[in-house]
Amino acid sequence: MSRTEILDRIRKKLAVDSEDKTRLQVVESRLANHLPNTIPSRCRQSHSDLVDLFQEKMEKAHGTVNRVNNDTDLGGEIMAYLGDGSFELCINVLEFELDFSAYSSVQTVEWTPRSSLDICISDCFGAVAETGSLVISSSKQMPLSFNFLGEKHIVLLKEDQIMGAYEDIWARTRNDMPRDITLVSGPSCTGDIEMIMEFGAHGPKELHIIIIGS
Amino acid sequence: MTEEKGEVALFVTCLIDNLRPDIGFSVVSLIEDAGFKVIVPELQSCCGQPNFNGGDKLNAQKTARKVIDAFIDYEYVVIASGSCGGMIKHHYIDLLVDDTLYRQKAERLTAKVYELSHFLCEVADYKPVFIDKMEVTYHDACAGLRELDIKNQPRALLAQSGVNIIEMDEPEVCCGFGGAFCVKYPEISNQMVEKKVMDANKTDAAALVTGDLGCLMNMEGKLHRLGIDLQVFHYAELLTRERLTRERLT
Amino acid sequence: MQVNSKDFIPLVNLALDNNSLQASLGMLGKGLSFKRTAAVADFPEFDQLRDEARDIKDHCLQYLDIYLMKFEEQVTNKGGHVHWASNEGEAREIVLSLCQAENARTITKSKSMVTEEIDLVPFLEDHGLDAVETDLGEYIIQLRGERPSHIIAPAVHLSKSQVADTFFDQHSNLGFNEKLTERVDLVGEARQVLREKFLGADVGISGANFLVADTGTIVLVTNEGNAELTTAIPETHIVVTGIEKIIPTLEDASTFIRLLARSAVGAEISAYTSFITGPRREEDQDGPKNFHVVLVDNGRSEMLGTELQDMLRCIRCSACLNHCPVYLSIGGHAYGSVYSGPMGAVLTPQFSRLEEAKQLPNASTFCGRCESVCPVHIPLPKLMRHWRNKEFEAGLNPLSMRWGLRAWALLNRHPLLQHMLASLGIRILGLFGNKATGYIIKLPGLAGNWTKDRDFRTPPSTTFMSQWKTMQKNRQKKEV
Ligand code: SF4
Repeated sequence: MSRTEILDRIRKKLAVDSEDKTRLQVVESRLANHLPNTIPSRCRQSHSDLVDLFQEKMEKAHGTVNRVNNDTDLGGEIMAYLGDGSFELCINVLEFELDFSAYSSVQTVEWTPRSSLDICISDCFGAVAETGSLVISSSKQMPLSFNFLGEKHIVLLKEDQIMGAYEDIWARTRNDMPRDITLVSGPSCTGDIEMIMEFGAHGPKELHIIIIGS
Repeated sequence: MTEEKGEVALFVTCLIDNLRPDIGFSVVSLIEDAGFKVIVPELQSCCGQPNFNGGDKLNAQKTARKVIDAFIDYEYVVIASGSCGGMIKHHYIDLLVDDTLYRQKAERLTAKVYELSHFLCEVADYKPVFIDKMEVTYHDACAGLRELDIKNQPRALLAQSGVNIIEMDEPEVCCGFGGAFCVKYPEISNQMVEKKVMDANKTDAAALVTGDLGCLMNMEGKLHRLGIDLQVFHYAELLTRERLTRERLT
Repeated sequence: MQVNSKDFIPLVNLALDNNSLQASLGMLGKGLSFKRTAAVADFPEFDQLRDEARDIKDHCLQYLDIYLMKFEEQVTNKGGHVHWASNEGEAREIVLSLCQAENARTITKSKSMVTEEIDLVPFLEDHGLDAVETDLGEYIIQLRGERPSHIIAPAVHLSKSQVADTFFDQHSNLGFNEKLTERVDLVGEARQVLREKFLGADVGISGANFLVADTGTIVLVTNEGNAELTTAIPETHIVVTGIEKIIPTLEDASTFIRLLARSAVGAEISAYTSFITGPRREEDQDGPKNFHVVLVDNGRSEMLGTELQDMLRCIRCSACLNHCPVYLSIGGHAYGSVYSGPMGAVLTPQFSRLEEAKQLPNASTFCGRCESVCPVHIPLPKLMRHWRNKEFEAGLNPLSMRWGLRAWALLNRHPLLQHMLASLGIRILGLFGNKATGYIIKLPGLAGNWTKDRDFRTPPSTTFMSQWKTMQKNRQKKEV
């Protein structure tokens, strides 16, 4: 069987013994401790600086960011971003109430995976400041593909959801990893034609984040 | 003359010895000017790099042992080439890893091997006097740069002598010499050296300067073939430029 | 692995004459090295992380058998399946039988170098499956029947108008009849075509950038989002990856994520980095029911315990290609292997045969720029030299070179004779020189390759050593 063949070959080339229990202990203790390596100093600053850092990095990655003090008029904020025109919105938001009753040009549609979806609006698991990355995760409420099929993706993020470093995600998820955790750092893009960046390769062409203050 | 600060054994290198002896004498006069006595051990040869890079490890080891024996007893060993210097300082220990005696000797030797500009700046604390104003561009020869950290030393020495360096685009990219590479893959090498000399020429500097003879001959030969009037010098030549004949500088 | 590295020289000549390729390579080299330098300058911890990354990989390789078993245990616990393939043939068969077991007809695939290495897609196509590459670059070259010319930018050798021609040829049967000229429209058309593929696929195949032993997680890095659509929609997800991709923990993955995009393209992170752990959970709305990981050896374990072991640290970032003056002169196709540039010159002889690929490790000036940018400190020149040693040991290089090196070494052991012969040699060389110019324009033999494109300055008639000797004698005379 290839499994034994490969494992035996590895041990032979490394000149180690499969019975050697100390090797197993080395690995097990390293896994059990899961110590962090160097964490960049930029990840460890005051929370308000982290929020600023998140915004700076996300904008550098061609996402757009809007900060609001409270969640009283998120519908209005979204419409301000979308501008004039009529829109089909596909909404998957648990944390907030969105009210579009004042906007007759807006229609909300049910989610099914399909080839053309106008605007997808969601909340998310959190965000990491160090590279301006949203953290989305698959769950009962959130199919991963929801985050990829819209032309535009609008994400609602509470200020206190912003973490410093990637390691902060693992502290919360390690023991019960969802099927998928994706760091989203900007809209979908490709440089595959002459090394010049185009947006919307397969995922959203625009990524807009509304950060809601506490 | 003040008292000598010590003795330096000069590793001449095959290329300087055979093709550009004048550079060798520039090197000697710099070391002497820095206050050291120069000795040229007679039993020196090539550093073994052609064999080492040609896959002929056994003969590279034999050559390395010879070089070690010829130089081990001197206080300092100075080499005006990053490539041969890198070979001895950087690769000998690895090459002789299975030969306990010579590996130890190699360790002793490498500790006293210096590329010329490194020696002048950091051991001899040499301060060249102002000669005259000149504008040149500088190509960082690969082995010196990446194996021996030669970057600022020649620039600093040249600056003190009055040379202003106009940096070319990508001065750290290889010129395409690569020892046997340039005759094994002449087409690739040609493309690399052409790009290099074009970048150098774009600076409008009066000369192109480098620290390794292989690169020097490669770039000089290409410029001459292209009919571009840009002279190429070893930095040791420029630091002793009052020695150079007038024709070569104008 | 399909390799035509024997044709290196003719392929090089083709590449050097290909103007559009040369233009692309010019942009690639300048653009990416500039961006990488800027990204590194903006990240003070970079060098420290490189050292740590090297140490993590070295540690994993030392305990590779155990880490692989831990990974397998975790994947299995989460409801996935792990398969082991000793060689490329086994790997292809495993993937095919997994597809057949699901009665699959259509497959979407995200970018993976291992699947290129094992020639997976042509094999699946030969067995009647419709397998489509979804990374834009890979998709373009699949339509053109080409192989990647760069490990992360597979279509970098093509111009926009070549892409437009290809789409015009190949998309007309899908109702796209307009010849496009704008990049944004080309990307848009591919998006439309591939959207349908994503939604209809039975199986999604991906590679993995990292395998996390602690949690059984696979890490995928893309900019386009194609990996997520490939892995979230079909009922079956098959991961095909090399055994060396293993790392211990999510913390370690974080370290590599910080290095990867900075080294590759000078970005702080790619647009999407996904951590996938097992098949869909019962309550999930999407994700595959079946989750398979195929661990491919294919010559990797043979590298352990040898000089080549260091190469198993490679994270396929492409920094060594982007900074290699040889790669930037000839592009990827000249290497005749899906792995090109310095990393390809080390891997190709291992994954094929040295006889086949011996030119690749020779075609380097050993300038060392690759090693200086490698995020995991792989001593690439040393490893290319390893193959040159093997070539010499096996007597595979030309006799003239073997004897030339031997003769040179012999002279090195007799320096006085060497100095004498050299004095003679430079006089003979002098005969070729033109007195007026001071240069030689044509040399005989191998040296003729020098004078093909450059001149050679005529050496003076006496060597340094003999001049020095004369000087010393004169000095002694004076002193007496
Ligand atoms: S060898 Fe180093 S630089 Fe090259 S692809 Fe691998 S990790 Fe990147």
